[in-house]
Amino acid sequence: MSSTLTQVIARMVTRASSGSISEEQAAAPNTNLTEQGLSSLDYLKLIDAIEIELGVYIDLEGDIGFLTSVEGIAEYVRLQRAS
Amino acid sequence: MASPDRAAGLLADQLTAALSSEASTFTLVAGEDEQLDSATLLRLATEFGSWLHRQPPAAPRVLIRARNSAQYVVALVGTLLAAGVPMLLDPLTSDAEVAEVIATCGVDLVLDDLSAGPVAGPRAALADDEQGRYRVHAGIPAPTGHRATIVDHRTVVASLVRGTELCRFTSGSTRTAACIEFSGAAVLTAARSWITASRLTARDRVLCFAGLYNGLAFNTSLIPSMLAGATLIVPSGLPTRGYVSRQLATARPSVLVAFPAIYDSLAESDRALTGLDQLRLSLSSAARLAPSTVEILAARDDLHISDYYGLAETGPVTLELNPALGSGQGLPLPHAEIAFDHEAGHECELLIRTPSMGTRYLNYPGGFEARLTDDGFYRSGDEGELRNGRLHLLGRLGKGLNINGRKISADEIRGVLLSHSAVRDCHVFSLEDEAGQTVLGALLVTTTEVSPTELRRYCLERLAPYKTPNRILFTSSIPRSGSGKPQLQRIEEYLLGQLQLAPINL
Repeated sequence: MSSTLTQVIARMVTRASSGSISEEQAAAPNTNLTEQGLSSLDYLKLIDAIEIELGVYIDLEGDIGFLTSVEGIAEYVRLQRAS
Repeated sequence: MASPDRAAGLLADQLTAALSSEASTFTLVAGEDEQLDSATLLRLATEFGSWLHRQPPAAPRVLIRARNSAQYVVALVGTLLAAGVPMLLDPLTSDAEVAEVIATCGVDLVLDDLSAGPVAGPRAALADDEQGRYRVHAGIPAPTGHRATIVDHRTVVASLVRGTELCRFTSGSTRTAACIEFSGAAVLTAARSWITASRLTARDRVLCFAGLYNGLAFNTSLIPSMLAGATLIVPSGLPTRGYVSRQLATARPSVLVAFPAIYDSLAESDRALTGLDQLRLSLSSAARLAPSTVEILAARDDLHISDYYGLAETGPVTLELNPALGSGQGLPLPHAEIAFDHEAGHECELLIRTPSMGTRYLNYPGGFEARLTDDGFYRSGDEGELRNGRLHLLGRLGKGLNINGRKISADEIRGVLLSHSAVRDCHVFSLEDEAGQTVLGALLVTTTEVSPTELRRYCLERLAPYKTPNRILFTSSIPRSGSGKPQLQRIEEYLLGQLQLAPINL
C-alpha cells in the first residue's frame, strides 16, 4: 500500500517537473526534490496535484518542509488520512 | 557605523499622517489571525522604532529579508519612524548573496525570517564575513518576531545620498542585486500617481500575492493602500492554484495583484473562479502574459488583466484600466514620460522619466547614472512603441534572462558554477519546458564526474533557488569562436538535439 502511494506521488513529481525528474529519481531514498531541480513553480503544480488527486488539503501558511521529498509527502498524506 | 543621526523623513511623516488620521480606514490582513487597523499598525511600528533606537547605530540601515506578513509592514514603518532606512530584499536571497549586500550596502541590522522558506526550512544564523569586512552579533529576537542580526563593519561603508529614505533592489540582472536608493518624495509620488491612475479609494480591498519587497506589491498595493485607506490583504502561503482560489473566494477583492504565473495557473483550472463579484482591476507585471491565459480568464471568469509596465528603477510607468486583448501596457501614469532612443540606433528602446525614479545604485557607483540620458531619462533596455498613446512592449534588448518575472544574470550563475572545482567551462541559458514554463539551464564541461544534484546543491548554497539551473547538461566542449565567445547557433543545435527543446535566451 505504502509503495503504491510513493509511486503515485513520484509520478506527480515527474509530471510537475515536465519530465525532467524521473519517477525513479523522485522516489529514491533521501532525495531532495529541490536539489533534483524542482523549481518553485513546479512545487505549486505538485501541491495542486496532491490536493486535487489525493484529496488532501495542505496548510500552506504552516510548515511545509515535508514537500522536499516523496517520502515526506507520503508520510504527510498518510497522517492526514488517518486523522 | 554607517549612518549619522538624522530626523525621520518625508515618507515617515506622510505615512504617520495618513495612518493617524481619524478618517483612516486602512486595514492590513495577513492571515486569519493577523489583522491590523491603522492605529494598531502605528502603535506597533512606534514600539518597533523605540526598540530600534536602542540598537546601534542611531539611524540604521535595516535590511529586511522576510516573507509577507503584518509584522513585515510593522518593521518597515517602524524603521522609517526611527529615521532608519529600510532596505527591502527578496526573501529568497541566499546567505552568500546577503553577505555581499551587507558589505557593499553598509547594512547595520538584518531582519529575517527564522525559516528560509516554507519548503526550505530553518535558516542558519548569519556569520562573520569571510573576507573580514564585517562581524555580526548573535541574532536576537526583534519585537516583530523576526531574527535581528546587528552588523559591525570593519571597513568604510558607502554613504547614502542625502534624502534617501528607502532602498529596494533589482532582481539581480547585475551580479549582486543592485540597491536602488529612493527619496521619500519619489516613493510618495509613485504611490500618489498610482492612486490617481487606478482610482484607488478607501472602499477598495486589495488582494496582493506579490512579495512586499517587489515593485509590483510595493508601488501598487502597500504604500498606495496605506495612503488611500484601502484594505490590504497579503496572504503568506505559497500561491498554488487552490490557495489563490480559496483566498479569492474569501477576500472578494476589488483589486487583485499577482504575477503572470499565478494567472496562468488559474487559467488552467477546470472550474470557474468565485469571489470575483467586486473585482474591478487585476494587475500583472514583470513578464509577458500568455495570450491564452488572457483569453480564458476573460471568457470564463470575466477577469480582465491589466499588464502594466514598470521598472524597479523608475517605479510604475503605465496602467490600463480597461484592458482588452491587444491593448498593451496602457496609458502613461501622471507625470511619467516615455521617449525613444533614436540616436543610439535602438529605434524602439524605451526611455523612461518619472518623478518616482531612484537616485542611484548604492553598491554599483556610477551604474545607475550610466543608464541615464543627458536629460534624465532612464534607458530601460526594453523595446516598445506607442499606439494611440498606449504603450506596447515588443521585447527586451540585451542578454538578460527573465525567469518568470525575475530578471537574472547569466554571468552571476556562470561565475558560481565555474567556482566549482569540477567545472571547467559553462554556458547558462533559459528555455521553455514541455509545459511552456521558462526554466534555467546550464551546459557544462567538467573535469571529473559530478552529478547535477551535487551541482544544484552547490548553487543553492550560494544563490537564490530561482537562480539555480533546473536543467543541467554535460558536453565535452562548448563551441567558442577564436575570440572565446560562445557560438550560440552551434550551442542551440546541440541543445535541440539533447532536449528537443529550443533555448529562448542563449
